[in-house]
Amino acid sequence: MTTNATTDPLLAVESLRTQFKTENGTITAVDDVSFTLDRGEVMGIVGESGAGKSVTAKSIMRLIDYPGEIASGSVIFDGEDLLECSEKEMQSVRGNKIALIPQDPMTSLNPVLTVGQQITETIKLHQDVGESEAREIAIEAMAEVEIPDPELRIDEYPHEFSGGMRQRVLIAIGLACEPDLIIADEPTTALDVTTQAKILELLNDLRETHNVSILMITHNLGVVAQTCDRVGVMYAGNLIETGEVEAIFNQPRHPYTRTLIDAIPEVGADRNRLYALGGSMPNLQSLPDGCNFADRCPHATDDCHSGGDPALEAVPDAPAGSHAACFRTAELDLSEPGTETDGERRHRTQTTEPLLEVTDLKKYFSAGDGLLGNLSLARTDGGGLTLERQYVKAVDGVSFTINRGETVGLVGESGCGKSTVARTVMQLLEPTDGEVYFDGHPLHELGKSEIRSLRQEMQIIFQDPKSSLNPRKTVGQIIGRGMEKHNIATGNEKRERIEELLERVGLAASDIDKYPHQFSGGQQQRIAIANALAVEPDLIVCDEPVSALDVSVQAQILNLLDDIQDEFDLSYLFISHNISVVQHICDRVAVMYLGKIAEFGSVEQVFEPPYHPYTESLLSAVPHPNPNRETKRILLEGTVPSPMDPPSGCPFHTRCPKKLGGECERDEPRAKPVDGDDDHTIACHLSEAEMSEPLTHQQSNTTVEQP
Amino acid sequence: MAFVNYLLKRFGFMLVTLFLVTLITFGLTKILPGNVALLILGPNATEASIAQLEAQLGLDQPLYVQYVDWVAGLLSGDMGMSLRYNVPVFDLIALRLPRSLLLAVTATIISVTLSIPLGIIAAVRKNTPADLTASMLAFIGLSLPIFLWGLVFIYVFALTLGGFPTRGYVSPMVDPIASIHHLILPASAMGVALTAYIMRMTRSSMIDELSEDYVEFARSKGLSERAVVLRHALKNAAIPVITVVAFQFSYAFGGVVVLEEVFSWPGIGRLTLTAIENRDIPLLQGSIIVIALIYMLSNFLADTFYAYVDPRIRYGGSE
Amino acid sequence: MSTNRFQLTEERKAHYGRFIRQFRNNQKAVIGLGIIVVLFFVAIFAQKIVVPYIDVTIQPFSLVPHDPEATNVQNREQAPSMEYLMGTDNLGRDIFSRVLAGARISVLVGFTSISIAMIFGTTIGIVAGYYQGLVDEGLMRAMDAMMSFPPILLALTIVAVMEPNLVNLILALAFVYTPFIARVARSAALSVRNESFVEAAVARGESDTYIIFREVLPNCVGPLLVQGSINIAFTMLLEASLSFLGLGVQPPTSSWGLMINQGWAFMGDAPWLVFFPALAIATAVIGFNLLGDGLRDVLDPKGEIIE
Repeated sequence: MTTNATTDPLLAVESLRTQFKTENGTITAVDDVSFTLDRGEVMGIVGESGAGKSVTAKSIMRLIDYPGEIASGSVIFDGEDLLECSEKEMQSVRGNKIALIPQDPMTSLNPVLTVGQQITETIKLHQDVGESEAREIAIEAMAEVEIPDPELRIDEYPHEFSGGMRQRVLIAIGLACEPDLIIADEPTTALDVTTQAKILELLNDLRETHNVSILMITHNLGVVAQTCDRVGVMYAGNLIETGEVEAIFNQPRHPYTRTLIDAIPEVGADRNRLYALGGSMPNLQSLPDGCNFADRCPHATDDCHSGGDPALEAVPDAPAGSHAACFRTAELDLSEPGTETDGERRHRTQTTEPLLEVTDLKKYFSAGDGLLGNLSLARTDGGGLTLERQYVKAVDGVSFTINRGETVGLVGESGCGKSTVARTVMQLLEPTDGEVYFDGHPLHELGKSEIRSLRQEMQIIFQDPKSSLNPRKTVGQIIGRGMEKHNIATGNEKRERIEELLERVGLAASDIDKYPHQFSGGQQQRIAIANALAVEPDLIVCDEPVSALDVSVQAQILNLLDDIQDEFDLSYLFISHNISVVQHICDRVAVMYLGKIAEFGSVEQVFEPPYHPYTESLLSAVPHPNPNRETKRILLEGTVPSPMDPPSGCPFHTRCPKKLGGECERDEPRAKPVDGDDDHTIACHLSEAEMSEPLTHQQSNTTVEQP
Repeated sequence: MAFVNYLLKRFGFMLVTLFLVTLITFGLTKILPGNVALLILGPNATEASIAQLEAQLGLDQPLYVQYVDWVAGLLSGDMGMSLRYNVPVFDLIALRLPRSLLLAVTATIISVTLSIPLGIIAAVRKNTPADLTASMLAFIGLSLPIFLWGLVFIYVFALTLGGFPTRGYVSPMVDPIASIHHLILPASAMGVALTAYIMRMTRSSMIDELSEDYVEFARSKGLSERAVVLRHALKNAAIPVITVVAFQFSYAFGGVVVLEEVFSWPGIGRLTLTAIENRDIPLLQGSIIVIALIYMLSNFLADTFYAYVDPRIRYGGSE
Repeated sequence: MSTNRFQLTEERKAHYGRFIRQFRNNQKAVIGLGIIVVLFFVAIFAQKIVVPYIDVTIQPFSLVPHDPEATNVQNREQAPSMEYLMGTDNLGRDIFSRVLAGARISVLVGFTSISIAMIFGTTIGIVAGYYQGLVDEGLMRAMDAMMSFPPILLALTIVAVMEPNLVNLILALAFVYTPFIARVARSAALSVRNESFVEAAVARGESDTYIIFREVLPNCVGPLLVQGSINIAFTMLLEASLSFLGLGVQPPTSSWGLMINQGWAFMGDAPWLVFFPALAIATAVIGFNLLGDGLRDVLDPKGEIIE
């Protein structure tokens, strides 16, 4: 969609400044932000957490609460300055002319009101319609966002909807009054990748049919590349670059934008070290003197460190609309990815000597809590009442091996059981059934004390670094405890080793006496890694170790994990929902669905045809941070079935775009070697030829979602 | 089905708790020093007559037999004979309990009608003079013992201003006007402390809800602040408040023991005190188990209501 | 090595500094703590301190202008004056001295009983929250059962059963408030248990005892402090109520509740007999409530707090 220069923009934000008062002084979360948005245009605001993108969005709608306040600037919407409006006038704009699609579908709907009540209240508020008419409009809106059976579902409560369906409800509320502008605040962040693909598709369609402008707030460059016309990049409260999407991706004009793009591991790209900047975004309370980015910028000169923050200005000799806030933008050519001197991925010493062997592992949880919690009254077929004991089959027959020096990935969407596999393998959870051999020891047969002494050999790194460090202990106490426990070092020797480890993971030796809360998220994850290394393990289970981190920090941690692997003779079991990350760091990967492994093989084998249909859908759903790349998304039907009541036969048959028929519903497919290669197995009834054949878009999109 | 399941489970928990409550009650009263048979027969009783009475009362049996007998009695409504009054405990309690309920229910109604609107206003106007005043009053309300509120009310409204009786109870069946007249002071005194607690709970629960995502989303739809508070936040905030009201209702029953003494209100509280003073074990056992039962029932009712308000429990669901 | 030691104190300062700063900025907490400090000072030094068992009496200085137990019938029911700041009671005893002396009972009962309840309640709650399942179910049902009796009724019954005296009073109140502490400890332990560092400790091979006491417990201190502070306020109220009913401490020891009990009959002629002990109770209770509220603001505990 192209912009029309002859008409006024729909939205013009001018020198917006929003501040928060804290006990340590005033924080300027949004600092002098200006941009325009045309009618029918989709603009992305992208940045890492704390960059000020959500605050910008809320400032436009004037939804900033105490202790925040909009200090200065103007927000001209349709010729009117919203910051000058009375609260009453503002209420007639919100939901009517500007609609918000909030971030978290799980918490943004009121749990005690029906979905219908929440949609119709907007309609009744802004349109002169009665109850029954509002209801009809609501049903229409629900149908438009492809919620099946809207007439029935309108009277249901939010908890009866899945996450993706709730997001659709939020979109329906946003569309209900035909607004001119939709502000979508991270609309897909809380969703799984296959659901995200469907929501993005829906937003793209709606934008065509309604000719609505969208301001898309996101941290995900892939989402921007796939949905936006224009993009603004934010850093530490400033808008540091704006431009057309293609221009930004092909030739960024600000070094930060370049590094953001480079930090993302991409499916299908080579697997060299990621280009990662050191450090993290500066604290908004103590911004540097010069350019906010200067401390991390590979192109910074002495001048960049003084003379205030550069303003966002038009870039000379660049496509119209390209603006950047960089002193050196005219002289820099950022069209090529940045490289590090140590760009090559180091040689890996993989062996074929198995370290961990898992056979037919099962873990069932009893549903509900407490003694009587998993008992539940149910009607039998005959209509009588019975008491049933219910189980969640989180892991249901999983087998794989990890060789010494190898990284094996477990990838899948939330609830597929990947984290449970990790915990069961480590005997943090007791397996229901199955065998786990670690370095020849049968863990499933060993007693508590024997396992305790083996724990030295297997360590775990968690998703949330803040939660993985005891806030009441110093870094030294945390890391040192494991050394003492397993008689590795004591006293001064221990201290020296801790300091060495801290330096190895990129921290200072003097950090040893600090407490965890004094570090940023990325640094905390480094401490967690040092902690795992302290006991000199053979295996480290990494449970979503970079999911809670911003992309630039994620790249640092991935590089670090990569670097220490050979140095410390480590094998990794790497759990992630992020296919690009898994593809980047793993040697072999298992794709999990509903407690079972759908496909297992080397990264090259799994991410190339022939695919398991689920692998294929997952891969196609990833939004690529590259606007030039044509993607054909396979949109899966429905939602993941409940692990309390898994489908018969193949667990994927309820959603499979290539389902054969009765066979898939009846018989559970066993893992078969592909092309006679035992190292690549797929659990599917399809022939290899069928699995290699690409899906056409129609084939996958014909069926409507089932509730 | 989910609703029924939920209630059945709650009911199951209540039965387990009830069993433990009978154990505690029985255990406590059995530590009482003093020979029951001797108490009944007086100091001149012979050893033989004591032994005979003990056998008759079952006191020579092992403890567990006594316990089983006692529980079996409870189940059939037989709580034994009061040693002091020499009438069935059941009859005594049946007469006094409604009077105490009248007091506690009135106090709860007074406090709920006062405290919930106050709590909402305080939460919505957080950190304004209105909030600070209301919060401070609530603070003082819960910092004085309940009997002192009784004394203050008697001193101010009965002794100084006049117009209210200082003590006594009149049945509403006999004279409704006089009954209310006698009820106002003790019920208000009890209401003060309850109001303070419920108001504080409503305020903090409301403040929590107002910071939830769905509230901001409701604002983003263009709803007025009034609609956001009353339509969206209130129903959610009510859920924890219900639990507190139920808890406070039983707290009111604790207060009843002292306030009935202050106002000479012949309810179950004074009956319990009499039982303690006279070491009337069957009466004591009966009264405290009935009071505990009322607590458990009010909690069960709160759970039921809670489930009814919250559709996640009513219809079952993913979370 | 010396630099390391220096750094350690610096880091610790940085760690606790935030808490201390926030505490200092919280008016409620500061006022509450101020009242409590004065209360403790009065409780300790109001009268001579008799150390039990070794019969040592210490009295650095005396705060009471008159002997709180000395009767003087000629002076009875004197209105407050310079000589008798709070007037005299029906037996001519100086109310000011008696109020000061009563602080000791209030503090002793409140503080000791809640300390005992904290020890038992915390252990029960944390064990229940850590192990979950059957252990949790069993312990918590027992706590529920104890909480099914209104606190005053339970305390009353226990005191009556064991005969009313100071020690029994303290034990009874400790028993009554143990489940309150246990509930809070359990809910705090449940949320700490879900933190990854607990799982990391298991993965390190730590024993349950180590995890419970070194990893979980230190992170439950916040809510426990808040609940403890609020419960001391409760106990003081309850002690006053029991003494008022004549089932608390026994005369001639002066306790605020007892003073109100004895003064109530003279309310019409000499309201100060009731007013000043009541004021004392309110001040002490407000002190602990303020501290609890302030701590809650500062620590922002995750678990439930029972009021």
